[in-house]
Order: sequence, then structure tokens, then C-alpha cells
Amino acid sequence: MDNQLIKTQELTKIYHGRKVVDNISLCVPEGKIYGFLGPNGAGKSTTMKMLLGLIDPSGGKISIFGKEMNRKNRISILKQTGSLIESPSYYGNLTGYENLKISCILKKLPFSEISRVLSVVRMEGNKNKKASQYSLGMKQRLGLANALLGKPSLLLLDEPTNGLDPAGIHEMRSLIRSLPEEYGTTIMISSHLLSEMEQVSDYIGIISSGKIIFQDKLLKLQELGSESIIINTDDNLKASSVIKENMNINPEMSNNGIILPFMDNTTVSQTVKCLVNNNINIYRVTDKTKNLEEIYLSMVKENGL
Amino acid sequence: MIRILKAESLKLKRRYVYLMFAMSLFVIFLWMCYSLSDLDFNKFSGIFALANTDLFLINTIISPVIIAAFATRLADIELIGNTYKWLSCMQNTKSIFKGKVAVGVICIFLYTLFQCAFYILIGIKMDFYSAEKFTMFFISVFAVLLALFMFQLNFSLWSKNQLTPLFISIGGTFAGLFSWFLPQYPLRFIIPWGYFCVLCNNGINYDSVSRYTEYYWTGYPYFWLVVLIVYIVLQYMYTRGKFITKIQEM
Repeated sequence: MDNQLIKTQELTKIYHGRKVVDNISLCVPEGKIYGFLGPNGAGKSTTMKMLLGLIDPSGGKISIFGKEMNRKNRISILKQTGSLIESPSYYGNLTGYENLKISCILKKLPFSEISRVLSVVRMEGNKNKKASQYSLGMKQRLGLANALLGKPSLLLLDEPTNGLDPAGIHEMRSLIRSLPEEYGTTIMISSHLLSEMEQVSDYIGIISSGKIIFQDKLLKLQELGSESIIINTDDNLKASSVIKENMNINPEMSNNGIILPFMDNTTVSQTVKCLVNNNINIYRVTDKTKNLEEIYLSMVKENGL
Repeated sequence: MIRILKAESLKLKRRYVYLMFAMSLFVIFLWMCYSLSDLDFNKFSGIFALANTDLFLINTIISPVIIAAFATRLADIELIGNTYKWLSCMQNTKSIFKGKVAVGVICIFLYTLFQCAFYILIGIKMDFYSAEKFTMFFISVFAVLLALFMFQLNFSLWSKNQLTPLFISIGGTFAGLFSWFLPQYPLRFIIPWGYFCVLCNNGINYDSVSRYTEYYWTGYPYFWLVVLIVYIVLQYMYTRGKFITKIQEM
């Protein structure tokens, strides 16, 4: 992996004798979007809260920006960090602008930052409206604006699209996607929605029952999904026996065509050549891949979680 | 600390907290005007003691609810807006609590100071000056209000329904008021609302024949002031500890 901004070692959290987070070692690379995936109750929010120092780990270490985090240096580390944890936080009696002013005062930032972040989240037109009158989408955007104050190097977003309508989700997604490119921000984003993570993340960490069951590039995860090759010809029966005789592969017949086990590119090309040499017309060669949901479920099954 | 105070005072914008205190001071002012308006200052020697008693009595009736409402206003903005997690990423948990207490102390200080200024005005009107009396009035009212504030803040910080601390304060107000009229029971010493009565260093002699009430000064109950201060410190430590634990559990 690239240079790692967040690193945890055997991070554990025990609640009432139950391991909610179980010895996880996260590696979040710099300048990338790290999707933290898992079903509800898997331990995502607990992990995020531990990363922010909101709760103390029962065991393990957390390093952010190369510094081991503890009670004393927590606030100084978090000065370079923006966060949005679970539901958006706001003061309903204050306007959007005033809400951000509170963060500026506490973080010792100039008020000019407010206009900048409001324009990033496209909320300039609603800055003088009371936060209690905002829609959920606007509250989430206000939360994101808050997290962006001071151009943080690291953003921790816990389910930022929760409760948003499809348009809001799309807007939030494109906003998040643009941040590493424009500002070099590293983003760790948690969600239980696999499709969403697939669309925004460069790296994926999958957590289930408090344990990390996968952690690598999204491409690696997608590679795991390639499980078979389907070939459609003008004579599938003949093609099947040709493959069996010449390639030493046992094909399966289905309504969609001949199903072959997953092969590398060279073997696929040899198979196609063999069929052509036997005067079989090939209509289509397709890669059957599992979607992320299927991969995730098979991983969970494999890990017995 | 100034930054935290700035942030806390901004949070109270449009919460009408200052208006609430101003209204309360206005009611106290009206009460005192009414109470002293038909008295002959030349004939009645205990007017200054009467004014002192009156101020303690009106505080017993009005201030606990005002303080409870104030504590509620300070706490519910955080609970409604789910802001503790947000704040905890920018400041230490202890400093969030200290900020609330500091705003409370400043508001109560000013609230007591205005009452004291009014008391001094009465003194000037009656040609009576006693720095000691004014100081002790200020310290007494400030200490009781602070004790009530710490008590109410403890409830308000965690009550999902903010009516509960308000009802507690209304009950406490009645108990505090009854403690004035039931001197034979030790109720006044064991509840914070009773300390307006405990720290009021005036006595009353009522002559049923002449229907004349004489107000006089007694020695200041320093012991009970110390007890109250100890209570404030303990309540502060308890509420702070509970606050930090609860934030960790959120």
C-alpha cells in the first residue's frame, strides 16, 4: 500500500464482555478514499469513534499522521482532521453560517473559511437560514462543510449518505470523489451500502462482527469476483466436447452457453483458437463476475462470521 | 477559555436566556417597589433588614425556576442537535463542561450583581451604607444560585425530556418556600432551595397586639455558607465526572 495516514494495530473494543471490534489492523493510504464496509452492527462506527478518540480502545494502538494517538495529543491531531459521525450535528437555533462560526472559534480558524466551505458544499444560498429549517440533505452538507473547515488532510465520514434521497446521495458522492483530486484529502468513509463504496472508493476494508475480512485495493476485490467464463457458439454441444478433448477442461452446459471455470487470458485465447480451428462459430465470450454483494457474502461465509 | 466562552455565548443566540434574566430582575424590581412603596422610612427602623429579607424571599420564589430554565437552555441545545460528538473532536470533554459552567457562573454573577446594585440603591435611598451587608448579600445569593445551577445542570445535561428538571425545580421552589415558614424542621438545611432562608441573616418579631412586625439583623451563618460551598464543589466534581463518563459512552 502507499504511504499510510491511518494505521491501527490490533485495535480492540470490548463492551460488556463482548468484542465489538476485534484486533483490527487498518491501513488507510494517503490521498485516497478508503471505503470501510460492513453490515449494521459490524463495528464500523465504534472503530471510527476510536479513531477520533471519542471512545477509548480496550486494546491496540492508533497512529494518525505517523503519531500514536493518546488522550493528550488527540485534539492536536484532530486539528488536521474533519469528521462527520453518524447523524449530522448542528445547533437548530443558529444559522448555517453561525454553526460553522462555532467550529471556527474553537479551531482558531478565520471566518473567511466559512464562505469557502459553503461554496464547496453549494450552500451559500442557505447560509442565513436556521439549521432547524434545513432538510436532512442540507444538514448532511452542513456537516460536511463543518468537516472541511481548515482544509483538513484527513476526513472521517461515517455513513454520510444516510437518509439522503437518490439525488442527495449522488451529489454527496460526487463531492466526496472530488476532494482527494482537488485538495489531496485522504478520506475514510464508512457505509453498509456495497454499491456506494464501489463508486467512490480506491481502497476497501471490509469488517464483519468486529473483524477485518478484507483490506486492499478495490480492483483486487473486483478480481475476486471473476468466477467463470461463458462461451456462446453456434453448436454448444460440439464446442463442449472439443474443449473437453483439447483443453482438458470440464465444461458445464447451461441455457446461457458453456460455462468454463475462471481462466487466465492466455488459456481463454487458446480455447477460442481451438474452437475456431474446429469450425465452430463463436458468438460471445463473457466473464461472469460476482457483484460486490456476492463477494462480501462469500467472504463472510468463508470466515464463518 | 475566552474562545470557549465565545462559542458558548454564540450557542445561546435566539434562546432568550438574557431576556429571561432581565424579566426576572424586572419582577424583583416591581416586587421591591411594591413592598417598600407604602412604608414610612422615617418611622420604620428595620426597613433595610426588611428589604434584605424581601430580596431573599423573592429569590426563593423566582430564581430556582429561572436557574432551572437556564440550565435547561444550556443543555438541550447539545442534546437536540446531537453536538457532543462534534464538540469532542474540537475540544476536550472537560473543557466542554467547563464552558457550560463558566457561562453559568458569569450569568449568575451578573444576575446577582444587578440585584445587589438594586439593594445598594435602596440603601442609598434610606441613607444606609454597609459594605459588609451588601457583600454578604451578594455572596449569599450568588452561592445559593450557583448551588441550584450545579444541581439543575446535572439533571439537564442528560434528561431527554427537559420538563423533568423544570418540574424538579418547581417542587424544590415550594420546598424552599415552606422552609421559611417551618423553622422547627431542618428541611432548609438539607435542600439547596432552603439556603436562601438559611443564609438570610434577619430575624422577625411579630407583635399580634399592635400587629407590628420588627425586622432585625442576626449574626451571619458562616458555617452554613461553608457547607453550601462544599456542596457546590462536590456537586461540580460529581456532575463533571458523570459528564465525562456519559460522553465516552455515547
